[in-house]
Amino acid sequence: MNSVQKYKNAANDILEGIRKNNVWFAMSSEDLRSRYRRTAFGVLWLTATFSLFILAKSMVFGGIMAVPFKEYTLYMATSFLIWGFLSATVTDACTVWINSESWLCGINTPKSIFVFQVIFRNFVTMSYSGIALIAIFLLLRQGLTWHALMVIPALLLTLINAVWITLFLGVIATRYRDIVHVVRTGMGILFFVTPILWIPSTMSHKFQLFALYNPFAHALAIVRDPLVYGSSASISWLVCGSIAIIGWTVSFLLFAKFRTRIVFWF
Amino acid sequence: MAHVIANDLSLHYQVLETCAANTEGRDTKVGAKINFEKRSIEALKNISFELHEGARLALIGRNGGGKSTLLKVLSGILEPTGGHCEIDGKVSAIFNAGLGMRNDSTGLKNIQIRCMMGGLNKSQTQDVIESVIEFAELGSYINLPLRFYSSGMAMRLNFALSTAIPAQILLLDEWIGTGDVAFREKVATRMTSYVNQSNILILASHSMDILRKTCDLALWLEQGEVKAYGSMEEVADTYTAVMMSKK
Repeated sequence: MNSVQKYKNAANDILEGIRKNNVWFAMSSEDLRSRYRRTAFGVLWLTATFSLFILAKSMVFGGIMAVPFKEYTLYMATSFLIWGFLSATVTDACTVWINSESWLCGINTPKSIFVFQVIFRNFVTMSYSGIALIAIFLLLRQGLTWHALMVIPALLLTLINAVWITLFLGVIATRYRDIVHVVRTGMGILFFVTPILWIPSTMSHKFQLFALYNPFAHALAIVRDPLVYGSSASISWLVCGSIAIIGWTVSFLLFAKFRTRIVFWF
Repeated sequence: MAHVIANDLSLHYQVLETCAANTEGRDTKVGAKINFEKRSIEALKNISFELHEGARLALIGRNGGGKSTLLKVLSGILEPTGGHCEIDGKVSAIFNAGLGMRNDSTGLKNIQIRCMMGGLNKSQTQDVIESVIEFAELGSYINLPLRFYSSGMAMRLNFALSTAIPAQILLLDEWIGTGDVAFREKVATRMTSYVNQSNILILASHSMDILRKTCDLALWLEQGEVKAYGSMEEVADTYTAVMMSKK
């Protein structure tokens, strides 16, 4: 097959995946249903777990940080929410097609459907934790400015980035099975060098550099800062926007080149 | 007009496992040739044939001959590493009961998801649901997760589902043998009606009786290569004779 056709097919795969959104809607909700089956509270466990985590963390760390309790709690809770989505998506990305083997080997179907399934599932998961976040904002009487609306384009950009990350890691982690372990370990370490539990401005120069050169820090900032500070740093938007363009280009080329090889790597 | 044209199809599986090099030199009677240098399995080699409306092709051959791989290539799941195939018409394929099903989801949910994948609208989906429930005779089981189905029941669901969604080309892999006598009768009837609508049927199986009854053409695959291709009677006779002599 010539290469132009390969790109066309890859683009079609993605477009067809978007068009068949009812499939990944259904698959994601079935995922959550089976994850919480026979529990009394179902997906509300997500809300409960998130609230208790935030409560525990703000109790432990809120007292030792150099910022007011309210600011710390809002900062940490919002960062933790977005981190939860990104971290789950990055780890799930490595097994996006491995876990769908029974579909990919049984039915000729767009491979991107499973990418959207993973992202949508994690987005729904985040939304349930988001209920707790809204409660925290109300409880701490956080006033919002018009700038808070920037959270909408920020979430959109987050989703756009999530798609290429899933395509990219999906391809290489299906072929090279070490990647999933590298990614899991890496995300565990990144949790500590990303400003989630700590606020850069209150830390030493070294930590401020961590926050500056870590793309995850910017990915958290574009969603968090409009809500917590009523502002956004243009550097964060610039970083996330550039990453989206570069990431999409690389991932699309990779996906186009190896899309039909994926089933041979199971 | 639906047609299937295979032109010089070849397919190599890459062996990514590290233990592959240690298995050289053993007497291999089944399965395709393993190329140790390239670390690949030559599952299909230069396969060509042409099928038009109403064709009923039987795929026969020993285990590992390439029957399932060929069906997977024709269904678009595997891309051939050499040659190409031209498929005109909507393809429906059944490989085994577990593929393309969610074990934790109900039968009904599974039907709905497959209909969505096929791009069916609400009323078409409703028709498929009714037809599958009626044909598979699963009754109230349709509202239970697949975990509670026996393998025969799962096969009923899969067969009913794959043949309920309209398609011009039906590919079946080793589905015979599961299901009770009564269901096998129903399956036979449905297949006849499928063929009568002048669609294309490709059937891989070891049950010569059923193949002789259903198909008019046969392709005999041996270690990924075409050993014989022709009328069902002729190819089946030779194949049976050779198999008997190997006993």
